[in-house]
Amino acid sequence: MSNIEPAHDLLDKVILRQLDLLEQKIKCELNIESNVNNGSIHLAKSRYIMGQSSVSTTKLPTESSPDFSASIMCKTIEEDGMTKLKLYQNKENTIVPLHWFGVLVPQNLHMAQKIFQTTLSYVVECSNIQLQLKENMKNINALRKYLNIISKS
Amino acid sequence: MDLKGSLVDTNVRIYPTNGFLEYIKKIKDDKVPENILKLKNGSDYETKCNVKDFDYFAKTVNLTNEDIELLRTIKKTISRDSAVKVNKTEIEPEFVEHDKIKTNKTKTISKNVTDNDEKLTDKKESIENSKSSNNTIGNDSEADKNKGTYLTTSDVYWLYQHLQQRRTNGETVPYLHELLEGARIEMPGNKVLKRNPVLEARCVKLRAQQEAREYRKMTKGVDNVRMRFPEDSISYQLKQVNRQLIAIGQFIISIFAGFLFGFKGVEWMIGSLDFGFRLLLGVMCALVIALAEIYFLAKKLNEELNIPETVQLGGPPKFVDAKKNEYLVKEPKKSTDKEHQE
Amino acid sequence: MALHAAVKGKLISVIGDEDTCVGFLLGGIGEINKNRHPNFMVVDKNTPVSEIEECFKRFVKRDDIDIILINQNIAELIRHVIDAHSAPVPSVLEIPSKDHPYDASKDSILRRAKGMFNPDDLVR
Repeated sequence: MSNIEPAHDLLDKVILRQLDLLEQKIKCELNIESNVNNGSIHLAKSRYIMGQSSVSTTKLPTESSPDFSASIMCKTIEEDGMTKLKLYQNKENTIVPLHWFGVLVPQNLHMAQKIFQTTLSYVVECSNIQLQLKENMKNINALRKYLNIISKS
Repeated sequence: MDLKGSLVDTNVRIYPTNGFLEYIKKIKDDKVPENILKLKNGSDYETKCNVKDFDYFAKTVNLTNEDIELLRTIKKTISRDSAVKVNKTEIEPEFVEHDKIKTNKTKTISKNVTDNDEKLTDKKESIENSKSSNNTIGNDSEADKNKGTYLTTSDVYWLYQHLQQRRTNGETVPYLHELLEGARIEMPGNKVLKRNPVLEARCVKLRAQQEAREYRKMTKGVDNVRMRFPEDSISYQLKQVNRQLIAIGQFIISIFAGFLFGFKGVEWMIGSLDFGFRLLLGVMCALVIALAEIYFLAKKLNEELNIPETVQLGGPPKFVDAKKNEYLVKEPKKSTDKEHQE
Repeated sequence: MALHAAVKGKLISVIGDEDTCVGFLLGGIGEINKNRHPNFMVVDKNTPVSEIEECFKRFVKRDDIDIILINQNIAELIRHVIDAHSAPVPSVLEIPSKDHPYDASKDSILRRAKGMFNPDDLVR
């Protein structure tokens, strides 16, 4: 079998990639963390301005409120043979989330909204890394199995 | 009450197995990353030269098209293989990573079945050896496990390149994945932030104060010494009445001033006007001011209403009585009580 | 790309504490569909674990959700359910919250990935 050499080499590469992806994922999570922290500060500031209960879960829509669809969604695309997720702006039947908290809201709430929107792009990036990790794990298993079979025969 | 700090170092730590260590010690090269040198010469080895400027080549290994092609063919052969072997089809590829132990078991079983290959048993033994050695180390002390030197991803990259170089030179060297087999991967840990003792002391003090205040409030009704409520004294009541009277007085005065402005002031400014028109103007002005004033008055009264709820945490008897009285008023049959109330 | 434009996007759902939920919903990912099912859940300290678990399973079953964001401290509560979920879609992403920083050693995916090297790690 001439495939053994490249297969071994490939397994090396895939394992290296695995390590790399692990670190990428951690870095990405840290990005999300710092963004969420920043956003929370702005939320807290607007809570300070508008009062304790003004920016809370009680203002969020519940099951009894009329239906609407998300303004930001994600969809699956194929790129370089890998399935990836991408953010996608939805225009139909959307609402302005800021209006849950009033018509005239402080500037901090606008800022928090912007920060959380950028966080969403990190979130998508992170889940892409996660998808690749899963794919990579499958590859490692397949290669190991393959090498096992070859070494037996 | 220690808090976890956020991660600072994102490097994954790889603790090598004994076989790996043996191999590293055999490396003869002077340009070696710091961590590998440490592994080679013991953990307290200090490097003289600055290894930071060591050429850390591109840290990403990208799969080429040929690699992907090879992967595909390998997957195909495996799926064909599993179709032939019935016992292998039990494990679907999706579940493989989920319960790795299960696959390991089946692997060892299949190994036992075809045990005629010497190479295989050798490999298996070596794996088991490394595992058992790992276990003995682990059992000895958990802390020791984390203290030892570790490799980072860049070191592994270096090793990969190193091995490849030697392979192209015609030497027979083990593959990286064989070396890494059984190695322990540790995620970077969070730093534990100790609470500042000054803050801790302050918190204890504040909590004690808060509790004392609550207790005093709770026992106000049964403590003979403090039976007299400040709310019951006439001066307090008068003050309250005064405050409200002032608020209402302000309200009336400002409305009256608004009316005067419309009724008289405009006439003084422009000249003589019709009486009906002046009246209308005055009422309009007064109305606008009244609307604005009502908003502020409501706000102020609302603030005063909120105070007892926040202050009287323990629910003093006076508050309870007030509620009882309400219930009594609602009951129609107790007419005597009702008269008494009024 | 024209082909993809016709395909409707999928949702990002959140299970998290108040600030996380409010923040991400402000970002515009919230939806309440025709059957009045929201794609988010706010967890406070009084929420029973069974409810979180049920909600997570419901989100996994829905085919219009691509990413489930869950706070890591909440994920800790229903770790067994998350570990059992191995399908690629929806992908479960554990995110840190403002008072629980990210802990890499707890993340399901990372634990699974590191188990590839040393199977002993998975047992622990």
